Amino acid sequence: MDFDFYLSTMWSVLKALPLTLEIWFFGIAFGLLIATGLTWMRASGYKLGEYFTRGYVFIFRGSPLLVQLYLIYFGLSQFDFVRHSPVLWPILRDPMYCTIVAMALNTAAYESEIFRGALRAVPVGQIEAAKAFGMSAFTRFRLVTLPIALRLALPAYSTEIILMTKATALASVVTIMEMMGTAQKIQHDTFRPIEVLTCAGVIYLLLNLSIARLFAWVEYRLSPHLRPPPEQSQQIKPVPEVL
Amino acid sequence: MSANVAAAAKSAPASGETPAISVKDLRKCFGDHEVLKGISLEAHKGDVISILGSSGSGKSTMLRCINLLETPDSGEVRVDGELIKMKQGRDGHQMPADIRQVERIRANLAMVFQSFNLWSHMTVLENLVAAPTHVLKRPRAECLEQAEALLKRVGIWERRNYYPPHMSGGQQQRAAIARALAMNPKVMLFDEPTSALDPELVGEVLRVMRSLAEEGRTMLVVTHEMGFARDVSSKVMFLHRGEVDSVGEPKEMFARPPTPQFKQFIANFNK
Repeated sequence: MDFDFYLSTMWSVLKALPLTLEIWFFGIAFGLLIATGLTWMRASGYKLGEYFTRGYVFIFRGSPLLVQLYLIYFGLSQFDFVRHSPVLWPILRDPMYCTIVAMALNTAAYESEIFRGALRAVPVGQIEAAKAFGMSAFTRFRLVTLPIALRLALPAYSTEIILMTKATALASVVTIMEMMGTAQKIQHDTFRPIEVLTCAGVIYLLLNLSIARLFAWVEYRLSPHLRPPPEQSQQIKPVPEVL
Repeated sequence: MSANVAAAAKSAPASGETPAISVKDLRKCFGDHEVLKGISLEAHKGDVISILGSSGSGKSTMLRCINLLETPDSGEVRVDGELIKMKQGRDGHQMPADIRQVERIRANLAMVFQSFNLWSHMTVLENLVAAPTHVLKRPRAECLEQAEALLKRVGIWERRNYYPPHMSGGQQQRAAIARALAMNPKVMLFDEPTSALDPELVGEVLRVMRSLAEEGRTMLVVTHEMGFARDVSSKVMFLHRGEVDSVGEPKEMFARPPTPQFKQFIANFNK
């Protein structure tokens, strides 16, 4: 094995990690914003909002992210009004922005479904108790519905975030030299796919491992009520093996 | 309505005092099924009214109509003389006209549920402090102090930092009663507070309820505890198929059941 080559490849791919993280971060941040809006529209009880979100989820969950990315990056520039728009064109001519837009739109569809399910799973009795004590709709949501729903949504949400980490690799097809793009370039230059792709794969694995651990930690912190009561937990291992 | 209702109405304090709760001709349907067929009830300050009835008689629904957890189809509910304003909704059903009014009135009618419904993500202490601080806007320190005192009173102060799932049903229900007391409510509504408990845990909850009755709290108690109804309450109301079958003074009611239905009902319990 050529350790020097492994090391130099590892280093080159790692140098592209900040770019990967940038796409990842802005993709999930904007995705979360859109998902929150969609969830709110879905839950508002207005028929129009419900149909819109249903259609949205149908389209963005039902078609490949790659197709969406191509349509946004290559497809939209076909239209004159896009190329001449002072708002749209600066965003849509930039592959980086296009990737972030595609990822945000795509993940929002999944996340809005996760949030909808979590909101519906909040036990009715918990909300009734909040009503019976005179809490307003807003206070009820803030103190009872939201904290419980967030805990319910967290496992599925963390999975979606991990899927998004892997989806950042698609940015390489629209000329962005993030980790996957960098790896491919090295591979083309050296004709050593095994070494190069293994390096990239390992970095993605470690990245997702840390994300999974982070979410497991948050989940652990948020659910003391689902663990054994204080005096019993002294006897068993205090922090369970979570991944 | 039977003659007993009229008799009970006469026995109520004749003074001009406004009743704490006054319900008139309450009706409620679920689909085609008419659950409440015109129920009236008056509770004065210090009354402890046990509401009895077999399952499906509408007793829980009636209680839930008082704090608008269910919306009655017609009839009126007054709390401390204040009428809960209703309006006609777009779907033809009644709905509360002023949700702020409903929230304000609910804050005066603390409820204890059959399945406790303590907020599971909060500790016991947080459960007791949540509504007083966020609804009544009282200072947190004062609420905490009161909460600890209430938990001592119901005997679970040692568990104040526990989460509800870590406690027995009896402890959870006592915590739920303390949570209701923390609102300094004018009237307390109990919806079958002991029905979800193991038999050996019923006693600890009933003892707390008895002490509340003794200090003169106004309570409406939907229950299957005949002992509590007979010995603790000041009035017993028996619902049968969505109607008030009989109302009366407990000793009298149990000694001489005024209607065949009530006689049948208590006979089933004594088996």
